[in-house]
Amino acid sequence: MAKSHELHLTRGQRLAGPRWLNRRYQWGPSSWPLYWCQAATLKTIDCGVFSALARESFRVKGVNAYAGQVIRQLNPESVAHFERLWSGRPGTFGWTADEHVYHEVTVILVSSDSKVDGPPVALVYDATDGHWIEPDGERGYGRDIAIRADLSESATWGRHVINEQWVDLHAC
Amino acid sequence: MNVLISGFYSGPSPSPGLGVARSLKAAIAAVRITGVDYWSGSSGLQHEAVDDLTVMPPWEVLDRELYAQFIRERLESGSVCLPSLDLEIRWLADAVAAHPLLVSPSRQALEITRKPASVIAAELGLGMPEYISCSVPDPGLHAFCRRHSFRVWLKSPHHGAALVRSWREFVALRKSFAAAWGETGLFLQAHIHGHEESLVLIANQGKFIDGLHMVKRITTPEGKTWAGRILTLAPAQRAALTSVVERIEWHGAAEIEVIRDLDGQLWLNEWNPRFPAWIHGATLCGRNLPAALVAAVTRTTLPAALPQATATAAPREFTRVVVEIPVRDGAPLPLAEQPLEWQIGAMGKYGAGLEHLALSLAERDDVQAPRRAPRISEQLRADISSYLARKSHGSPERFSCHETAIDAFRSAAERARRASTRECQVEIGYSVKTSPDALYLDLALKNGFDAECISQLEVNQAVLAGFHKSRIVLNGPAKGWPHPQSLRPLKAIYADSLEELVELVSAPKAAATIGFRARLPCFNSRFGIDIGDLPRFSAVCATLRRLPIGIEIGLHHHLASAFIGQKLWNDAFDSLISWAETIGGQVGRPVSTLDLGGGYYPEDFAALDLAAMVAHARSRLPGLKRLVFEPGRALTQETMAIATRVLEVRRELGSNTPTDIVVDTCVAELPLCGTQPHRVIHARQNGSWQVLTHGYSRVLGRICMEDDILSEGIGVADDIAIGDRLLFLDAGAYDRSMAYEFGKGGLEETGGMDAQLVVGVART
Repeated sequence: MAKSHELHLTRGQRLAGPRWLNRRYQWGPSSWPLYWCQAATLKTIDCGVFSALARESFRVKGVNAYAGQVIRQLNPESVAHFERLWSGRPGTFGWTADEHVYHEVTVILVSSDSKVDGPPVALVYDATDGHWIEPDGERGYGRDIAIRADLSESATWGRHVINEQWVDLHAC
Repeated sequence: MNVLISGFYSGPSPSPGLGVARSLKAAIAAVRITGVDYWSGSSGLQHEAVDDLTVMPPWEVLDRELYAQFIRERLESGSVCLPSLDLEIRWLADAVAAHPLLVSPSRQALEITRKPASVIAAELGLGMPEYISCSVPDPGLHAFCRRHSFRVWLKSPHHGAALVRSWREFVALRKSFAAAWGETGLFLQAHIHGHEESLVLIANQGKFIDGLHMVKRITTPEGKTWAGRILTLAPAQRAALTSVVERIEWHGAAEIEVIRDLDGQLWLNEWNPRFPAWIHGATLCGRNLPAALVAAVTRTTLPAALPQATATAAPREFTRVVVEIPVRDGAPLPLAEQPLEWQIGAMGKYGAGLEHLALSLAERDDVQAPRRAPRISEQLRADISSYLARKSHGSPERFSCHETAIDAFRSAAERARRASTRECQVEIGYSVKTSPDALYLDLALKNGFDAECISQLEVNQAVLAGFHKSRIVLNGPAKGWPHPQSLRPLKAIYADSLEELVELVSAPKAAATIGFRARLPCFNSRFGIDIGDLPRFSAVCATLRRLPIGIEIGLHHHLASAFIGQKLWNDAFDSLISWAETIGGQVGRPVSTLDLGGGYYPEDFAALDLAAMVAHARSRLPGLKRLVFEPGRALTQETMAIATRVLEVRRELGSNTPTDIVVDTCVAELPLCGTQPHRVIHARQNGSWQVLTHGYSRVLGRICMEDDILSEGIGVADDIAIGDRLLFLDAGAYDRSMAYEFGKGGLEETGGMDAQLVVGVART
């Protein structure tokens, strides 16, 4: 499935993000736990499922992909709508706080750009929105203030070093 | 004063929010603008006129109850709410109770002004372009397109319009409109050729406050205003708008898009329930309607110094420019999506998810008239019943509808006879290429038609069918194929080039009438002599002057009215008369025959007033002796059908609804299936049958070609089953003569296709 979509949408470029995901699925609440066979039949999935599917899409192309999480800034108005959308749904959990939300992304590792041994280089793909997140992005609506990744070793992402610990993206 | 304004997309097809905000800022010093949009990429939010911005989730995830509550709270706290998006306004009319500070119209007012809004057009003294609901059966929609020369607009009642230039284009657009905006209320509207203008009004609870008139100076390629001229409403327009606003109790702004045709008549295009996006252009010209509206609903007075009253020094024209502005701190633009393989520069698409809102609104106000099945004549009904009553059927099988054919030929002959005068005969030339079957040649012969041929093979066929040479007309670019013309004199020969005309004029007794096929200026055709090329035209006249005495001059013109539309065809006929007058004057001998092809749809040919055409032509061509029509398609299109067996029924998972029907015929046997509608009959194995409406089930052909789709949408019943038959009507004429061999594996016994034609001949 992933390979067919990739061929169509990105001509199978190795590091291309799986854009087919947010064309096939709409974003919304998912009931957890969720099994792979369920995910295939759903029309609406949450960011955790997007991230999981993206990881597998990258892995089948031989790209090392890992789960990542960000804290994203929105605004109270939007967050109120998302809380409504999720409220009362079985198998969901709280992921919002004031004007911030917890969001799942995908971290891929590409070979080190250092001529000597050094940490691998990370790229961060947001499969829900179908875009790559910039490590030096602006502050404000829709942008991220912190990140962590399920990496066994640290990786560089722009000027940041990311790993299992939360990293403040705007720390001086 | 707090004002909440929505709709700040500011791309090439902008929303009005920013223009409204700028106008308010220009007039009301104390105003505080909150800009609302459903996509953080709406760049108008970044403008300095916006004090606070609120990005709401896109409509597919927006909680509408919560949002309605948000609006209500703002209204109760004294904020003015000025929505600027059509669909949002339509939703608000249901979701939020009327409030003086909610500056948008009621549901009732929106219903009255909903496209096409023909009642409003009459009240405003505007012409209403002809329109037709898409719930009408496809043949009716095709007729509408033909009548307007395939210059029509497909429109949805709340959003979306696209120009339709062919049937294939219509079918594709209808499908995409239905998917994006819902099928409810879709309609076709005739294009009006003219200049685009707008009338803008503001009203407070049914009381007209002010209005203006804008004439577009420059538009974008999509037709959006780029520059315009601001005018005062004419007194009559003002009075009419005042009256309408009062009757429908309009509250808020409205833009009435109109078209001034080249004769000066104003036509209603559509009524939009909001300010136009260019409204700040009017403010710059001294007419600040947003400020006047907000002042009215808040019962405040605008400062006299600010440009509300008409300023004598104010400009009367405005234009847009492209200006870069910084993005606000804390309100960054959305990150660009990773481009899709085919995507070039598509990253600015409005991401508000309005199509989700449109679809849900369409479901709510589903007022679409039930789809109706196309009509079929009594003769055709008898032919179908007769066919289905046979004991055995092949499949696929093209069968002749004899009663229909007999009636069509007889009726044409009778009309020609009635329209003929002592001075000018109306004659029918049966176009052999349309359908060279013996059935039709025999009917043509018996009804006194001539045979119009384009090759020697067709001449031979006509002779074999019994046509005397004096009843054969030769036309086309390859008359001598596959061997030179030997039969002479024919009734008429029309040259396709100057070179051929020169040859014909010198040939002894080739035909009783010699002429040429005229290619009229501005009509695109590969055929005939370009008479707009004046040196060539002079050479044509000089050549005709050498015609021996006793041979008459004929002028042939052929454009398929089914493709160019009847109106354009009629105009071409009129133009041809003028050219015939000129030729007569230049040559010194009259054009005695006008030969008019062709490609008429059956109902278009039936609608021609032959007697009036004769009278019109004779009034300018006193030497005209014959007016010849070539209704090959009109006579035969309805007289054949293809019966095909259902091989497979594919259904929606979890329901019984058929999505795709696979049949044993294919596009090779129905080559015009994409370019014109075919009426379809579902014949069950129990003997019952029904004519099908438009619907959502596709009919797929048997062969391995991607475009082997015989119908993009028919409304079959859930009980359709393997072994049932679909009968594609209207499969004569070019569907017969242009059919080709494909996917039969070289076998003859695939069905009764050829055998049936032989049967048809034998019965004749």
